Amino acid sequence: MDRSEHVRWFAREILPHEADVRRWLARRVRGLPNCHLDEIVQEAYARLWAAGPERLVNPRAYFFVTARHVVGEMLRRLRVVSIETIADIDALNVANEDVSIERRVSGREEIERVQHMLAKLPPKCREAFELRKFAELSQKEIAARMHLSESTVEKHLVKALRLLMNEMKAADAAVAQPKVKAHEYRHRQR
Amino acid sequence: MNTVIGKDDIDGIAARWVARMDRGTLSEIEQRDLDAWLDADMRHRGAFVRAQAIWCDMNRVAALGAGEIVSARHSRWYGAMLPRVASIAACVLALVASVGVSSHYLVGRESTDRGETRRLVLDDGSALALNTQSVLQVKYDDDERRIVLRHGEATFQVAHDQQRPFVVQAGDISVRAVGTAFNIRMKPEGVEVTVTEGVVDILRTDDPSKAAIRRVRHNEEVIAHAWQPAAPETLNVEPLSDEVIGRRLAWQQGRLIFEGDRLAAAIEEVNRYSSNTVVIHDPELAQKAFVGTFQTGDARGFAHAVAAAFNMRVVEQDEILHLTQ
Repeated sequence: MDRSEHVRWFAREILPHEADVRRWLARRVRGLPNCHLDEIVQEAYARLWAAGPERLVNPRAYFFVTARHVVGEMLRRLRVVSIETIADIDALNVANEDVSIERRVSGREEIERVQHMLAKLPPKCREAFELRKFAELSQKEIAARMHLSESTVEKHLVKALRLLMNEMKAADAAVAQPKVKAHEYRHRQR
Repeated sequence: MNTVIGKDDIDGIAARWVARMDRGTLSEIEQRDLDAWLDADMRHRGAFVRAQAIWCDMNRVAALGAGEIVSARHSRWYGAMLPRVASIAACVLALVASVGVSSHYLVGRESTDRGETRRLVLDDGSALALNTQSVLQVKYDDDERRIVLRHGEATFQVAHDQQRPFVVQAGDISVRAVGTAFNIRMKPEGVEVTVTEGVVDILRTDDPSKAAIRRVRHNEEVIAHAWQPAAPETLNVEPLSDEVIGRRLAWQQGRLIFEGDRLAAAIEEVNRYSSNTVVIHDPELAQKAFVGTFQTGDARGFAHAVAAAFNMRVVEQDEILHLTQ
């Protein structure tokens, strides 16, 4: 499998599960700040990439297990984290139902989400992005069409991609509120 | 670093590299800078892979709804783009003309490979399990929650919503529910509907009046097809015990349970899930009743159990497991 195939595989098999993994982490590990969540996801991605697609029979389950390893190591490294959180992580088993139930938005909803995201971009930036992704023009062709330098087109695209990358986190944060109250949580740990 | 890339957070730098690579092949210096950055921290590589995947995934999203997104509000460059758009449109038309495929067949599509089962939760809280080698499409709108089962088998656990009926379209036959649970399997002889909870209506997909041909209740099963005579009472509704239903839906736990099934039928069932195919050559043995529980996909285990039970041998050749005397 060459590099671009590997990326496509990643987009298809790993990316759709990121929201669920983030939700799961936010729900199960108390007091996990967002920046740590980002770090965990980044590190998990690096490991999943290194593992390669051939070895991953069930990418979704492997993603959960990898994230669990990363968060465990991280919490042990960070001395500031309370003992309680560490106790949590030991109890943090990847339950079957977390892994087996996928949440998928319908195609229509996905399109609406992208449209909503694009609406937030400045007009030029949006135009460049749409020409690149929907009309499949090259950056060079876009530069000629929009009378811009190629490096400006590139900057517009960076901005759009940045926004996409952030939107993905924001969408998760909205549902990442822990559903379990503290006392129930303690009860569960026993 | 003499490239513009740098001075940003990890995601920002990753996004810049992805956009730079999208512009063209990296120069030697750029490649060296990128490699150095990637090697500096595990998280750099993770962020980079993520950025690449998101960038690449936009192609899929564009394929889902490019038409809607592009044509809606872009008269400004739509004109300039016309030749290109026209050629794309021509391709799409050609496809539609030849095989009847258009992007609208791809929206919300979910599928499984042989031996794979998947559970999904939809936007409204309804859940579905998709069995081996199945394809379906989720088409929700404000008036109706429509699922088009194109191939295979799926079980639905429908969230209650009086305003938006839940309709599964399986070829000529549609099944309508409000809040209930049922399984649908598309078989050569018709559409098999098994209701495990509540009530569903069976209707003809092309009937504009949307009138029910037959109502099927909890623990009942029916095989329906559109060439059924107009008289709905000829539809044979069969009552099933909880035990039989549990066996029928054991695939959701990755198991196949046979309880006095004919060997031929059991083999057909096992072969749905496995890349190895079991073949039995003796027609008399194929009619024997068979009991056993197996993992879906474990055709070999099944073949050997059958061989042991009926005093046969398993001869394996080119992914085919022959059961012979």
